[in-house]
Amino acid sequence: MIAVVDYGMGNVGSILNMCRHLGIPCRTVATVVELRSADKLVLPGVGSFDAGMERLRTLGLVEALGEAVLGRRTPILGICLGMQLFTRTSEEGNQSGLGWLAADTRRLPVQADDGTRCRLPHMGWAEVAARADSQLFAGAGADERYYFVHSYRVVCDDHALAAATAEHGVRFTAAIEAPPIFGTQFHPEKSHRFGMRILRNFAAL
Amino acid sequence: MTMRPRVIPALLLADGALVKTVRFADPAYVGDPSNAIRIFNDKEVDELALLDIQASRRGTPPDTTLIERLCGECFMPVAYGGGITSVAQMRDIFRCGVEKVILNTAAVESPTLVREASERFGSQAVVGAIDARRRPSADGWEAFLRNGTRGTGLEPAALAEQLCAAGVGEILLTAIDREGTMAGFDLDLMRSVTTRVGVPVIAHGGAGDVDDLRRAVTEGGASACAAGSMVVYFGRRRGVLINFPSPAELDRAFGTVATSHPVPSIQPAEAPAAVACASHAEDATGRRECVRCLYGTHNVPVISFDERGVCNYCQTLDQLEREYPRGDEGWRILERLAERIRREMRGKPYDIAVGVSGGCDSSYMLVLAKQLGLRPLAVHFDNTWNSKIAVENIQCMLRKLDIDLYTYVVDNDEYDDIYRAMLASGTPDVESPTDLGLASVLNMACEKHGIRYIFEGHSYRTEGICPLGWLYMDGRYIAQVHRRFGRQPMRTFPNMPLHRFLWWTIGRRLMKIRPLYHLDYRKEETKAMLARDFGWQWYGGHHLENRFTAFFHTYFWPRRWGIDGRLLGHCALVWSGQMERATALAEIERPPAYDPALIEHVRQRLGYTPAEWEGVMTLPKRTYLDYPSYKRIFEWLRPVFWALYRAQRVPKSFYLKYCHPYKGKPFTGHQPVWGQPVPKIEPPC
Repeated sequence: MIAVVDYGMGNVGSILNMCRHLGIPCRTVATVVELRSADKLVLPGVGSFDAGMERLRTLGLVEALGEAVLGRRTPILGICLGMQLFTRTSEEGNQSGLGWLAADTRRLPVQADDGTRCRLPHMGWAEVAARADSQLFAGAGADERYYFVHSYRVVCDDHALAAATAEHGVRFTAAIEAPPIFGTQFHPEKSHRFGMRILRNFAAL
Repeated sequence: MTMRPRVIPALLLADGALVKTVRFADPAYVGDPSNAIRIFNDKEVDELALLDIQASRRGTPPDTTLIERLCGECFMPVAYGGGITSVAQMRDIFRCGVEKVILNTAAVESPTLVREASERFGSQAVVGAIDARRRPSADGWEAFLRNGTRGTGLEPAALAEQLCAAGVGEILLTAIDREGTMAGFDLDLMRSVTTRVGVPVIAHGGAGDVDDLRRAVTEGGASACAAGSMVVYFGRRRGVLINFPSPAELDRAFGTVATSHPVPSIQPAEAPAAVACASHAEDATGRRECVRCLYGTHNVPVISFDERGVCNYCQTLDQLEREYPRGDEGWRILERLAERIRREMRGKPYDIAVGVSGGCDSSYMLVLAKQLGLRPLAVHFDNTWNSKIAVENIQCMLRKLDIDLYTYVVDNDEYDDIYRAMLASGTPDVESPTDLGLASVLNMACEKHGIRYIFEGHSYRTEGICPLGWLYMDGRYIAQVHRRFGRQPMRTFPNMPLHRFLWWTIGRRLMKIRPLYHLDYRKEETKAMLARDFGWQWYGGHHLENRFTAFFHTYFWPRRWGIDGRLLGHCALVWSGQMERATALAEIERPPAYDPALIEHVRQRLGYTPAEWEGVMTLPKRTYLDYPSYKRIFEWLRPVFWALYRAQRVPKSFYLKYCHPYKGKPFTGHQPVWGQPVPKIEPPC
């Protein structure tokens, strides 16, 4: 059973739709009590960093998530903002993040290294380069593409955390794997069969 | 590594229907939005934009029930616009599975809303829509609100800057003067905005082909393109057909890959086939089987045998074979016929009408028409349940053969109501409205374009003869069942009342020709030829190119009636010696397999709860004999129909089946050896 954290910030509907389509049992969780019984978590996220952290605090989920992931080692998949919330800080806001990863969230550059202009947000499909031993990308083929929509990126202290990278002006972290913590900058729930594989792989962990 | 620019179907909604406008006016109905979205989803398009033009014009709130239903099976990003006025509404819309809200009127009328929305949901989730119209006198453009009905006095570029300052993450820039015209984007307008803002700009209004898309990006500076007419219409006549450029075409247009178009080669007809030999007769527990085909008392409601043990269906097939010469003579007959048609239709735009479904037989009819030097008009009855393969097949055939398309799209809600009524009737004839609808639409197209000849793709040699009792249809029957069980009036369904039928066949003297009767038609070879020369795709079984038809053949008929539709084709193939009897028997002993997701989709779209659905599937069994129909009139008019059959105005099968009294017991279903249909196991990803 995958529990999708519904903290009022994410595209919960899309994730449930795809899980249902794949036959993966799923439900939403919004309280500390519900969260305790989850054996796998998805933290979605559409919105700004500070608003996301505030919502988690208001619902009392910051500690509960920490207990589940760091304490009971419940696997968690952060999607987009969800993944960014795992970091210590973000240039998007003033609040501190969950701080589970030795990483920070920074704004994407508006100019690439070669001087060309990069429109923000980065919006659209992109191919990613995934690590061969990645669990999330297991079985991925050559023409995989994923849907991105973001203006910020996760910068890890240690590159080894990155399971995949993509490019928009700079090469940035497209996915992280630090079991039990997983995250994707792109939206698997909106990436056709390519995203379905990611969710299926996560469900099979 | 960065991918090519996004190409976004822009779908307009009005009262739950899919429509298409020209310059923001004259909405034309083009189909069912949920089915269209399914096709785009199956085609794995980059993104979708849904614009409820009714909501934005009237200022009514977004229909979240509809949005939720549309997004349920959408595994790509979706943007929604129309009638949004508050952050609370946006939250509800995002919950439906939408990624972005599109704000136009509200963005200008309440500027704080954009700021609130982008702070709450992030700027990437807020799209500012600018609808621009060229100023009549001076240079430049003016931005409009409320679906193009209220001017703002603002230049689009100035409005774009305002919206960006307020926090939108993307601009959807529409040229009202180009919308629906397919005349190309207004590149000056695009440039006026893309040079002034840093967020991605989606060009919209005027997309006609992939080259327009390329120019919007390379010359207009757009980051993405939205296309409306281009993806719902096909060809010069603008026949309704959901279509989308292939990844290869887009790559070519955007300059990543270059390959050449293969030119189709048209193959002449095949050599004569071998004729079947008789095999054994079987007489076990009171059940009797034909010595030649697979029909018998156990799987056919009405059957009789001659002294040799050959069934009446095989005898009819033998008669048809004698009546319609094949081989060289058959081909000469077709050529003579084509010559006559060409002569008669000189000066008119088309020679014949060909009904197309995306299936194998109708696709081959188009090839054959061209081979015979005829100018066909393709006619499609869109019952709003097309699959992706159906529309792709129609598109690839028409495009490569350069054939015009006439589409008649039935109202989606009304058609679903007819399906519900047919299901409630308890009869096995639930799919007959589609067959009758296509027949009507063919006649309508002929009348409209002055055509007198219709090519029908029926082949008794591959499709066989439908046993009496399995299927019945006529205009009165459908109208009466619908009147009794339907909830809304029949307005757009092209029904065929007797007077229209007689007007078309006698008044307009429309002739139905079944060219396959004159050919040694071999389906497997035809399928291979279509795939090789046209990029046509096989959809896994006869009639499975339409979602409802697939439901009907793989689930409804087998589950409720024990009818195995495969029997028809297999029988014909055994009869004509194209398949071994033992092979055919082994194949039809396997239970039919259905796709559980498809059945679920049908249930949900028709609005049944799981319990109601079970109820419908287990209704007491009825037949057309329980409802008013034209059957009696057809029987009285038998001499007339005999004359019409001799004059090729109605098919022989019609005369045999509809003009003679039904002699058997009312059909109550079979007990097939395979028991019940089984769910298809999904292949591992």
